[in-house]
Amino acid sequence: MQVSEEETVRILRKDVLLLFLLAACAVSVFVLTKTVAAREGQIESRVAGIWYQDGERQIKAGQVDDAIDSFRKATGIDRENPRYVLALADALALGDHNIEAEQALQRLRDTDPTNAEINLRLARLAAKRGQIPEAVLYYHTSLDGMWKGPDIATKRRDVRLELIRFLIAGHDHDRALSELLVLDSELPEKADAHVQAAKLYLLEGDEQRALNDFKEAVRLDPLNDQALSGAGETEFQLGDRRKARQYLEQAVARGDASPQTRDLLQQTEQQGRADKQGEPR
Amino acid sequence: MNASLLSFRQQLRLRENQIFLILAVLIGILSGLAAVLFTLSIKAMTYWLFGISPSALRFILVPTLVSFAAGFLLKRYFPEARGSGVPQVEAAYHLQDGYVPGRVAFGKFVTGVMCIGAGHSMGREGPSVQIAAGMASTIARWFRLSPARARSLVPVAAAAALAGAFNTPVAAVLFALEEIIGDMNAPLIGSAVLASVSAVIVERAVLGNSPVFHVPQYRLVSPAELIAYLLLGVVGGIVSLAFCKGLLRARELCLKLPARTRLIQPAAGGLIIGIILIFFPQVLGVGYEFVNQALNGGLLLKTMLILCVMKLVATIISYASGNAGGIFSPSLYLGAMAGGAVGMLVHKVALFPAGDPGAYALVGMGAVFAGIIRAPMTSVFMIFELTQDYQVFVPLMVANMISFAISRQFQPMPLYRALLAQDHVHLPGAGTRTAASSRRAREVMTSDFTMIPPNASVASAANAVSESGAKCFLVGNNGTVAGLITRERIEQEKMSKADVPIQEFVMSEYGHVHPDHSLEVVIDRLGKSPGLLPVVSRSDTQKVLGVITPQALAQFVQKNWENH
Repeated sequence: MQVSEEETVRILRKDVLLLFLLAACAVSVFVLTKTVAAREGQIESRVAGIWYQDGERQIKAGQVDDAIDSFRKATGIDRENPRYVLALADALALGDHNIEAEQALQRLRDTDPTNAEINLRLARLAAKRGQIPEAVLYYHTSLDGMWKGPDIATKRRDVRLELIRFLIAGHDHDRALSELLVLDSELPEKADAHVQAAKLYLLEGDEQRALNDFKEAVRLDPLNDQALSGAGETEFQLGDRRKARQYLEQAVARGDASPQTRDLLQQTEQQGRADKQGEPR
Repeated sequence: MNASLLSFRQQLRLRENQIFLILAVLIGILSGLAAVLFTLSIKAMTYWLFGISPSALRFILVPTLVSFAAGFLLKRYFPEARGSGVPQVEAAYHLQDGYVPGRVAFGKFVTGVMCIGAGHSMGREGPSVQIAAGMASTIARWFRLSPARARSLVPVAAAAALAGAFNTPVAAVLFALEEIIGDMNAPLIGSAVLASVSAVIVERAVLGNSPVFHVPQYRLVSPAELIAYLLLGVVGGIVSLAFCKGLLRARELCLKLPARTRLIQPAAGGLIIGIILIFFPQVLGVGYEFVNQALNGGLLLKTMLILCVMKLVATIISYASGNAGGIFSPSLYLGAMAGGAVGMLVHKVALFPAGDPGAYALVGMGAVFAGIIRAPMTSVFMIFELTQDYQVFVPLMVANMISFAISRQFQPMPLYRALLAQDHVHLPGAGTRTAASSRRAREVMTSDFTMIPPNASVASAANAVSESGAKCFLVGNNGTVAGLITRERIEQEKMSKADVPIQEFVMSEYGHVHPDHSLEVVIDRLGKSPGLLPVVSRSDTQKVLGVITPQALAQFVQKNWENH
């Protein structure tokens, strides 16, 4: 009895010791593997970076296919780096490999669905492929998404402007107008921004709102020749020749020498003379 | 037996049960880490040897020189480490109670890193399986586990290694059951799952939760697309067949070359691979980067077709020339290229709306894998784990089954078994393993037989067999059989060619059985034999353990009848 128990205890002790050694071995191998993985990760990042820089250089040189190849190598090595995937997607879109570009962006979107940059690129791709509902959806996700870096409001406004132009080009005037109204409400106190909005209203055929924006631009910057000529043109279209003449004269005085403005000014002057001659003495 | 001894044995049995589960987890962790370390080492070796943009000279020199060094190690120290590793593990499990020397695991790691890192078109999964099996077998010996328990750890380690190398835990378990054990109902499933999950956890802890492939979202655009998947199954079957037949033929040719060339065969293979790499660097190593491109529509139709052919040729050369590396990932690569090409063609010519070519590449991977590896369930679940999308099941099963059926029809013996057969190792079939209650060849065979030396003259052979009443004799030396010869033939040749060595007249193609074959198989094969059926070892089919003659069979029946 005593011998059996001793034997059992000896074997069990040996088992425990071996298990402990194996566990220690597993921990050591884990640390080693993790270290190797980290070191390899650094090497891979460096190599991927070299391919990325090559791709950038090739894009600038107009070698789109070579750039795609380089960006592919970069993303093949460092698949988690969104900068490389975005560069690849841009190059693919540039090279008209739209399906692959979309797949690359979709993969990124899966990991970061609210990323505004990714959604914007997807919107542009969808727009390029004539997929209007998808494009609008991605534009909106981009507008509502997370932007990084400084001057987020400007970036968001630029996207909305891009969306409005896309809708106008697709003759979707109702949606374009509602987007314009949103844009209008978000415009900063800058003349150029109001001029931009006013021009889009004109494209939409909404002269009254365009005039409001031109006037606001003139208020913010009375010397802005574009705002002055735009206000003049719009007043002319709305039939107020007098005010149109005032604005156009100021525009020309501030240096707007475009033939269109001068022509319109001439027309208002002639109209004014004719009106004077027609008045009872 | 006294009570204390019984208690002692019970405690030991209990101890073995408890230790087995703990070992399953520890071996899972170690196997997963070994697989990850193996993968990382291959990558590091590739960077180190090739740099970022290798020159043509480097493409030629690196595989040739490194393969020469690996060939030396493989010939001199680790001959069992050649090739994939999966067939060797199967043989160890079925024929050697799961015994895989620790030396083999180390050798496989070193030579695998050298060969795959030096650009050979081979996979890392098979070697990972052998490395893990070697570790598990060594650990089982440290703990002095019973042979049955030690054997059971081998498929458990295999599942863990595959899970660690491929990040598909369910498919890894199925692979261990379907391929290594050959029985989907094996009771080891629990420990295999435990090990597989442990391996995946450590793999993710080291490398992060990044899948091996970035798989596009799968969509079956129209039901008519199933016709296209049926076509993909046919293409997958043809590619599988071309690969299996080509590999077996090339390897047979290499094995027939003089033994002294074994040292330089890997280097010769390396040289050819180097030349291929100059023109097609995409076939270098494992090549999952390009599988990803095929999956995401990044390759042209022409490119995919060329890469499919070149990968097939390169893998055959790498494997047949005796380098260390597997065929798991080359089969996925071939499937992705063939599938992607079919997808593009369907897009161009089909009258029905079709999904992205990437979806076809994905299903193609499964189809070719099923055709080459002959593990259809593993294949289905592997792709399912990669996509995590139920929609892929039906097209995948359609393509897989067609490919599997074509491959099995024209290449009845699965590739891993055929590779073992070329090394004179015959694994027991499912029938042999399950027919537990039937009588076996070992019970019928007799070890009392005459063996004529191959260099004996016909006249001396005639003298040697004159006393025997047998109709057929073995020709060979020291228990190694070279062929058979009938008494009738000896008598016939004695007249005119009495001095000619007997080996000139032997039948080198002859039927045989193994000791575990059932009596039914024995009777069937004895009926087709010239009157003598050699019983040979499964681990070396040239080693004779005994013979069965009609007389021996009759005596066995008589003895049984008398006993009853």
